[in-house]
Amino acid sequence: MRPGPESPSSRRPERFRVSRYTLGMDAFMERFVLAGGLGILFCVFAIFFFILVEILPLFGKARVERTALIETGIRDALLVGADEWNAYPFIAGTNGTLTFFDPSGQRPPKAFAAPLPEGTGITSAVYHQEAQLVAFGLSSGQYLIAEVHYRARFRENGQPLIKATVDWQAPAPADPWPGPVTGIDLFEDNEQRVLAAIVQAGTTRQMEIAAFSRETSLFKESALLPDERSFSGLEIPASPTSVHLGAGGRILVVASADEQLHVFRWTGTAWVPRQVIDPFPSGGRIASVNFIQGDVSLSLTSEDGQHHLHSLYRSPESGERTFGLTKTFPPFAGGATDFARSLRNKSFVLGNGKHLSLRFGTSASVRWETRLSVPLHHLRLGGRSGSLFGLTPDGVLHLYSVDDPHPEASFTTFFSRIWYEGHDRPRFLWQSTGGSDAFEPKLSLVPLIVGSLKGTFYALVFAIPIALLAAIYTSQFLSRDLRRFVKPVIEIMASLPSVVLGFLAALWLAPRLEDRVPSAILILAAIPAGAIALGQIWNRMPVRIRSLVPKGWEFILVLPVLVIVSLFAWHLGPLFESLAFRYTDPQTGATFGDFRLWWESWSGGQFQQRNALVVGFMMGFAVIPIIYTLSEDALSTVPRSLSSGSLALGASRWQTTARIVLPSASPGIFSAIMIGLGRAVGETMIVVMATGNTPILDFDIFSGMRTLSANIAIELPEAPQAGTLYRTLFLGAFLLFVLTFIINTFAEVLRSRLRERYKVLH
Amino acid sequence: MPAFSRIVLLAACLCPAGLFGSSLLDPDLPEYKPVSGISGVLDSVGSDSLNNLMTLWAEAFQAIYPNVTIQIEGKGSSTAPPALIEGLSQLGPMSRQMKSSEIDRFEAHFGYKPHRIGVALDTLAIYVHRDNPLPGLSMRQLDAIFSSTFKRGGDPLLRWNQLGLGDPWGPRRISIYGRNSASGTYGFFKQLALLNGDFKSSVKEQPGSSSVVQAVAGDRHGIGYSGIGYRTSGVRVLPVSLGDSELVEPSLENCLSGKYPIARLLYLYLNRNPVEEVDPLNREFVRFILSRQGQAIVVKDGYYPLPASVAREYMDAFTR
Repeated sequence: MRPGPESPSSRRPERFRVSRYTLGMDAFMERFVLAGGLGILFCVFAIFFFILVEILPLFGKARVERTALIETGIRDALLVGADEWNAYPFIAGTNGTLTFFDPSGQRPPKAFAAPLPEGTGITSAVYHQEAQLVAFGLSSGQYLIAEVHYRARFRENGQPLIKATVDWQAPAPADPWPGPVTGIDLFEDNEQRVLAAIVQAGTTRQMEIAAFSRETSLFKESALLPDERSFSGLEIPASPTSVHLGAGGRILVVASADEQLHVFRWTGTAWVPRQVIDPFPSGGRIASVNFIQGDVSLSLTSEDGQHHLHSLYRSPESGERTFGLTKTFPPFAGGATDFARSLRNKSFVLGNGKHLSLRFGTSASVRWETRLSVPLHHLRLGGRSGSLFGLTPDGVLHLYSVDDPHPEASFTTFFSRIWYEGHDRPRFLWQSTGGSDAFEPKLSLVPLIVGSLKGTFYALVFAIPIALLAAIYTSQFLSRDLRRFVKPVIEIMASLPSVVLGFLAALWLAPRLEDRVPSAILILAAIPAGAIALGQIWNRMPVRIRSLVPKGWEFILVLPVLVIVSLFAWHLGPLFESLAFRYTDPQTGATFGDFRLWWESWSGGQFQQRNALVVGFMMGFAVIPIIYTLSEDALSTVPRSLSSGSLALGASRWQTTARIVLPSASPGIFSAIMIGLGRAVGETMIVVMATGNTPILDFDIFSGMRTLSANIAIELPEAPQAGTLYRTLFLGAFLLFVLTFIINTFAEVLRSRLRERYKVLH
Repeated sequence: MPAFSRIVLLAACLCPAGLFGSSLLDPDLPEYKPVSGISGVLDSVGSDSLNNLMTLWAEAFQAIYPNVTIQIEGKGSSTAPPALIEGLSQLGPMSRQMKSSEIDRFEAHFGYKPHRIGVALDTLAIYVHRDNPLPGLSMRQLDAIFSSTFKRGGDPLLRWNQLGLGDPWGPRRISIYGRNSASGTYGFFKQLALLNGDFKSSVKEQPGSSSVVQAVAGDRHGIGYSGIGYRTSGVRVLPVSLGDSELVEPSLENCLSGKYPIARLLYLYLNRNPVEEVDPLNREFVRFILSRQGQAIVVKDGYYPLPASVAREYMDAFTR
């Protein structure tokens, strides 16, 4: 504002006036800095918000909605089948006719009648969804297999039109079994087809197995040939009620009238009874037995509502692969009468007339549950588990859309022990990807968090003493001329790319350190000991000799001693190893010195070549310059008057450093350590290269680790966008964010306290 | 002059392969004959195992068609489907087949399935340190070393003396190396050797095929799996047996006959719209890699070539 002619300022001499340029610059800079600060805050919050948007869908619930009703007129169905596009489901009637329906209503239903022999009826049926096979058990003691072929024809508009054909096989076996087939199950993959049947022979029931295999090489598959697993009259102690094939057609589970499950295993030469399971020891009749996707876990419900999952795993006691109770689900009232499993993950639907429940195997959780107004039977999850089909008793096919993109994600799966398929106890595991869809993702973040903390801890254990002592020495004891030279040199260390450090650690340091751990221990002990011993000797020397070395140049004496002591310790290592780390081989009884074996038997842990020691060493190398240079600055800025006063009062150089300089500089040193810590927590490339990225859960110095940041670097490129793994990796990033946020806040609070305390000194 | 240098380059590319690979190459493989009017850009994102091979193919192809630019990125087979779906690449080299969930995602985006072509044969080799005297391993032993689920029914193998080795292996822990989970090799080994079980948490995951071999060469107690093309003098390849049968070396013969249990096809996935004509650049590239010249490069890179009948089938299926 231009001052008026009468204003007091106009009477001021011109030279006292601040130039308009300066004022304008001042105002501009003030706003500029404010905008910059707010911009940074905004960016931090934007990143935070972005991460949050990515991870929130993980904790969403399943959404199931009815999308279509199809009047089929089929009142007495055996089963419902569906194609992978959910575009052309079919219903098998009691006469074996397969009728295909187009849910959009564009095409009339298409029926394929079963070539049943004269006078025979269907007594049991099973549908193998992966291989699109329907198998009927016949009253004549035979079975009839229908191969359903779906084909997509692309129309001009690019939309696929799904067509279906049915190939009927001849009823088999040619020599029929002795009675009607009352229960049937089918297993098929690209190597084999196995069919198990319960046959009512007069008043008794027996088990029949028909097995076929095909020779597969890389380029061709042969036709199905009968296989030695075929077996007639397998003995079951009680009358069998249902039969289930699993685990690659090599496990047969038979439910019997005495409420037990009899497990048979193909040993390579014979079907051998392996196990009898009493699924509900507290009582309760078996309502349903079904394999979930992967065919190694059995979902069992009882009529009083219990719901369990039994999985096949190697029992550590017997060394055999047997079923064991791994999960207990929330109750399902009345037990299931209908069951549908997903082909893509471990979810499945239980049905009991009007009661439907979508459940997920890994977390033993209920994803969605409802009570309908009409009962639905013959449930079927579509190929991509995006659809659920069910048929009412009066012949209306209901089509539901199932939207449950992240069933694997929950607080339980991320942060608590889960009893995964094939494992003998609940564990924290990270293994996100498998070779096929039957793989159960293991997404525990606990090993990764522990790995991050472990790497940071060992890096700091190595870096803090070296960096701090170096900073104290250069700032307080070293000659001024040299300090000008030393500091930039150490700062250059910080500019070494971490990928180079990691590469060095992996291919140079790790193999060398593997055999020489005792040498490393000796060196760690010998260097301080040598330095102290030299100091003692030096102090006893007459002043005449001591004055030969100018103040600040004493290290010239220490250097050769340290080199000699280190070399000596390095070569003494093997001797030290053979004397101190004795190991007795339990097999031969021989005793010899070997650090690696001694460590494993002494600590119970592992000794890996790529271990936390190597990482700590290399990551320490990356952190040292940061801690060094910041704490050196803090120590150097302590006012000279303070240390001069202390020295003038007769304190020695060390007393001055320890009692006056260090406390005054402590807030700065503390923040230096915290910044170093932040660097170590987020460090990625060294860890990726130098560790084996083993997601193990321990704090041993001689085992590896996988950190949150390394995990993101390794797995993000392969993670499909918006998939569960992708979002889980963002959850890891979020945890890293929160971790550093907590550390920084804590550090800032502590630092301001320290500064408050030592304020008087300044 | 350019034509001349092109021929020289081609000859330089193909001659060594012609010398070494003559016994492996199927004589019925068709000769590649260049056509006119081919230009444009091809992007390839996918398998690390196929990275070298794709680069060699690209070089030779660009030598024939100077107006074609091919960019190759190889971080792992799992990176191929997302890149194809988002249109970032036209070629998706993969060292395993796509999982149904990946096909689902592709199909949800385009309405049709991705087109798969087998381009070379690979055998996964089991590597140990070159001094290791172990004669070989059965699949069950492999599972017992690498897995934590023991689906092949073996007992856990942790130390070398459990495999009958004496000093300096003896009671020492078997140090296990493998690929990272983005790699098709990882998934393939998991599926075939571990029967879809889980790896031990102590398997050290290496970022590339050759870094597995390097790591084993630097670790006397190490064992690891990687493609046969990455064999070096620092490691030894173990023969493998299926069941109790005799040990089988990973040779082309054993690979074709199916005797070697961990052989596989390497694939190229393409976005092929079934109602449109196939893109000429894509067609010529596929025709090139399925030709005698293309398959000679396969041999040069240490993999095994396709039989002519199989190559013809893939070509017919692609151009139909």
